[in-house]
This record gives sequence, C-alpha cells and structure tokens, in this order.
Amino acid sequence: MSSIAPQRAAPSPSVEAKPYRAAHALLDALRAEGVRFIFGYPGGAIMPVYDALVDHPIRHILVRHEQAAALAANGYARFTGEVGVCMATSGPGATNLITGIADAYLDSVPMVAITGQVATFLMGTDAFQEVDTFGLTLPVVKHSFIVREAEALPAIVHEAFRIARSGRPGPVLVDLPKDVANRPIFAKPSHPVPDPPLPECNPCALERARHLLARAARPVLYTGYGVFLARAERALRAFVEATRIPTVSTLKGLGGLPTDHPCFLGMLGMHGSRAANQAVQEADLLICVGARFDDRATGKLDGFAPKARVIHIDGDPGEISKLRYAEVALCGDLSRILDALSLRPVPPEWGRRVEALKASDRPRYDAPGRFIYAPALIRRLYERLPEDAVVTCDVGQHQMWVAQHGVHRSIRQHLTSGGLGTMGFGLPAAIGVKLADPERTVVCVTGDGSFMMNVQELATLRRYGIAVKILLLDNAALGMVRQWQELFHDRRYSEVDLSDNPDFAALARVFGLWAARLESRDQIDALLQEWLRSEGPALLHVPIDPKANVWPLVPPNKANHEQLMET
Amino acid sequence: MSQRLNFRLRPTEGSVLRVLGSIERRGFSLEHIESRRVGNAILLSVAVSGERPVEVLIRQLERLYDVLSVELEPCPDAYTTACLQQSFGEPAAVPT
Repeated sequence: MSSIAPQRAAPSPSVEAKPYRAAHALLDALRAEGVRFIFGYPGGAIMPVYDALVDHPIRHILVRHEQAAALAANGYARFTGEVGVCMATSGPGATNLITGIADAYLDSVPMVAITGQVATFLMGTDAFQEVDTFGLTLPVVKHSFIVREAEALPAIVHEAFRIARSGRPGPVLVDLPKDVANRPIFAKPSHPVPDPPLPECNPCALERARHLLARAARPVLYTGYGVFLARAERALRAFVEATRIPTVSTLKGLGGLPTDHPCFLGMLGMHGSRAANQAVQEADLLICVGARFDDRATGKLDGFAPKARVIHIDGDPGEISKLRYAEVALCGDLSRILDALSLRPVPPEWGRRVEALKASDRPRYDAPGRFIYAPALIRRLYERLPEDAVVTCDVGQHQMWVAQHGVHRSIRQHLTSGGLGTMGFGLPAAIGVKLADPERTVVCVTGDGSFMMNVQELATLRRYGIAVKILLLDNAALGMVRQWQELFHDRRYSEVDLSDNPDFAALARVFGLWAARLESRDQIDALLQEWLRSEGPALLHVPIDPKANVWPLVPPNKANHEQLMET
Repeated sequence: MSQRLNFRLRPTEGSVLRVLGSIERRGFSLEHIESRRVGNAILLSVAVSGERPVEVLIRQLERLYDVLSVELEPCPDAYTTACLQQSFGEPAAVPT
C-alpha cells in the first residue's frame, strides 16, 4: 500500500528572509503545547496557516470533510488524554466542524479547534465565506477566542490549551482572521505552565460519606467517564477490591472496572443489564463516581434508585444535585477521595443477592436462525482481539451491542459518542487513535447508516496507510429508529429503509482497502482472522438480521426496572 | 419568584453573551439585565426566574472562564440552599 509522504516546498529562490508571521507563530505555539497532529482541511481564510505548514515540522492530516477533522481530533484526545487539534477555514469549513466540537463538549473531551476567519476589516459585512463562528459555537465550547491582535496569539493558544484540559475538559475555539494571521509578529512562543492543583475535598463531607458507607446495607457504585478524566481507574479498582461493592457503569464509563470483574453488573440505563438496573433499584446507597445522572442512564428520574441516598463524587461541582439531590457531595481529586473513603466490605446478604441477580442475567449467544447474530459476533470479535485493542463505535444498535457484549478493560479502549450520539463518529475517531498509536489494533464497529455519514474518510485511510479495521454490521436500515417505530409507533416505519445500500465491500475496494463480506455463521472465525491479519486498512461487511432489536430496553418515560426483555 | 445574580466578568469578547446564553439554556428566564464596565471588569446584574435550583445554576456559571465571581442576592429558597450547603459539608441546619 502506498502512502503520501509529507510534502515539503522547494527552497525559495528569494534571498530575502520571510518575516515571522502570526500564522507561523500559531504552529510554533501548538508545537510548544506538544501537538503531534493537526486534523484539518484548507480553504481561503485559513490559507496563511497552511502556507506556514509547508515549512513546519508539525504533521497535518488532510481529511476529506471538516466534520471528520473534528471527530478525528476528538478520538485522538479521548484515547491519549491529550488535547486534540482540528483546523478549518471560515464559513462552511467552520460550520462543518461544529458537530465534532459539540460532540467534544457533551463528552468532556479536550480539544482546540482553529478556524480561519475573513479579514477583520471585512468582519460584519457578510463577506464571502463569512459566518459568525464565535457566535455559532458559543453553546458548545468551553471557551472561545477571536484573535484580534497578532502579538496576543501565542498567549491565546497557550490559554486555549490550559482551558481545554483543565478541570472538566472541553473544546476551545480559536478564530483567526486572515489579516491577523498574515501580520509579522515578534512575540516568542508561550511556554506551558502546570495547571493549578484541584481543591481539597471538604473534610466534613468526607466524614458524612464515611458515615453513610458504614451504615449502608445495599450500596451500589455508579461510575462514569469522569473516572477516566480524573485518571482514577486505579483508585476505583482498589476501592472495589477492598469493599466488593457491586458496580454499574454508564456507557462512557465502561472499562473503568473491567467488565469481566466479579463485582461488575453491567451498564445501567436504557439498554443496561437487568442485573445492573435491578441492583440500583434495590440500593439504599448510591455512590456516583464521575457520572452525571444522564437521562439515558436514569430512565424516569423519579423512579431511579428510589430507596437510595446519594454520595456524588465528581471533579465538577456544577454536576452536583443538577438532576438528583446528593446527600453528600465530594468534589476534588477522585483518586484521593476514593482512597480516603471507608473500606468496609459489603454486607454478605447484599453480596449474595447481587450474585443471584448476576447469575440470572447471563446473555445467551446461541440465537436460532441463519442470520449472523450480532451480539455473538461482537463477543467473538473481542475473544480474538489483543487485550490492548481499541474499539470505536458509531451510533445506533451496533453501539449498544458493543457496549453490552464487548469486554471493556479500560475506558480509553472503548470510544463511543455518548452525549451527542454522533452518527459518523467511529471512523474518524479510529483514525485519530491509530495515528496516536500505530502499533495498536484499532477496530471501528459501525452500522450501515452511520458508516455512510463519513464514508469519505476511507480515502484518508488509504492516503496515509492507516490500518484501521472496520466491522460493518448491515441491517439495511436505520436500525435503532426502526426498533423505536416498531415498539412505540405502531410499526409505522418512516424513512428507515436502507435496502438500497451500496455493495460495501466493493466500495471499500474502490478506496483501496482490503474488504470481504461475511455471510454465514461458519465463515465467522476464518474471516475475522483474515480481516484482522490483513495488511493496512480493511473492511468486513456483515449483513445481519434486519429485524434484530437491542434488548433489554427501557421504554421512554419509564423507570429502569420496567425494562422490556426479549420475548 | 425571581432572584438576582451579580457577576464580575472578564472584559473579553462575548463574555456577557456567554453568561446570558448559559442562563437561558439552563432553563431560566431573564427578567432584568444591567451591565457596565468598571475598571478591568464588567459588572453584570441579572434577575432570573425558573423552577430549577438557582444554586446549581451558579455552580454551572462559576465554571465559565469569563466569570470571575458570581453572587446570589439573599432571598433564595431557604430549604434548598440549606440542603445544598449541607451536602457540600458546610455547617447549615436544614429547616424542618
């Protein structure tokens, strides 16, 4: 497979040295922050920066749609914990970034988005490709800057990175007018300084938490992505080992406690396991660690954990008692808080009850029929993957099957768009991960609806030889919407039929990928192996039962314990 | 019942818009707004009304980069305030 080497300009015939311009200072400032990749797409207003890139060692990845730039930076940041960087021009370039920025905002992903803007003297005149990027992104960024003075640029970049990664991470926008980018400047790159330490947890609140823990008869741990943000997986695992408190997780928290751990009951919520939802229903103490009582996790809020008092442990005070009153709020460093809590083992009766719940809720993978059974395929996939593999998902039924049936060993090995639910997330996110760690196996599990939302990124895989393995579960429909129309809209199917999908394997081959179609159950082992061992990027197209649904399911406006099971 | 929030903001581009937008997006109505530049800060006073706890809104606003400080003028729902103070470990008696 060929790949495109970074292009370098021939030396300029001019003997005059070019002045140091803001555009170049921007790239130097990014480098000073440790940026390895910029995911982007050029255009008119951002041209000064692309001109500076020609002579700059920082690596730019040219995607084929700006949304993919934002989502690739997003995936890179979720996996590495570093700040991801994306870049686009003004107008449509900026608006195309917004979905990826919003995704980062809702999932607390550190990201810096750089957008070109029309020249300052044209701003506000409805100039070509002018749009108020600052205004459009206000609700979906942690902060934003318009760079009006070239000299301020290095300091703004430094501050943007500090904001993006500090506290609860999020995206920061830097909007750079073209004339400012072209101005000569004399400022030196700003040097990173360490973030201030988190505040100490209130000792009175800690004592109250110990008191509640010591008296709890039926405690349950409810964990989320905040565990990853706080780098608290070790402390969480140590806490569970010491207390044996049964643990449930949000979608994005999966892997905080390994999903094959004896104390882990599964994901809670709309498509959560029966054991997880029932344990929360019976709990008299809910210890929420880095989660936010999202509606997909709680179901009908009034019926969520109705018998439980709540200890809420989080790095963000803004989440405390937002949706569910917390008797005790512990804000600060999650690891230190977990280490400081009481380590009383869970009462034996509760331990036995939870074991019984778990034993009666083991998934079955022996579905009858000739179709490939997606949960069984996902399980088989995880049995064949290296333990450190990363799986990215798109959004829909396949996403829930991965959450339910995958073996998640750490949070950063399962990347999924939880808050925004962005179809088209999976492939660009996988690109970001694979570039960050080329030696690691990176799989994108997608569906036929989601895959087509960023299908153009197959060209990016080919261009850079990025060996992402794509598993495409094809039910010839927008399966999750179809499932809801079947169950809650009297089978009035509306615009969910995708039976005229292209031949996905042929499509992938046109883009230069290895591709195959998996059609029968007796092909699964051989084709999974061939697909995973193929050189370079590869796609395995798997037609599945078009009528398969995701179970269990909590109907809308119902409490989690009222979930529907497969009949 | 409306409640008044008094802010000190960084005098940065869009800081007032950001705060007002955040208040509305979090489900509160803007009843009255006053703003003026004083030295190196913008003073913003906003009367808000809504059914959600204003103390949660304050913590959501405090995390905005532009917000240097935000204070609630006295007259909040005493029970909610006391409960929230107690959950953070502060010595406040919950009214019965």
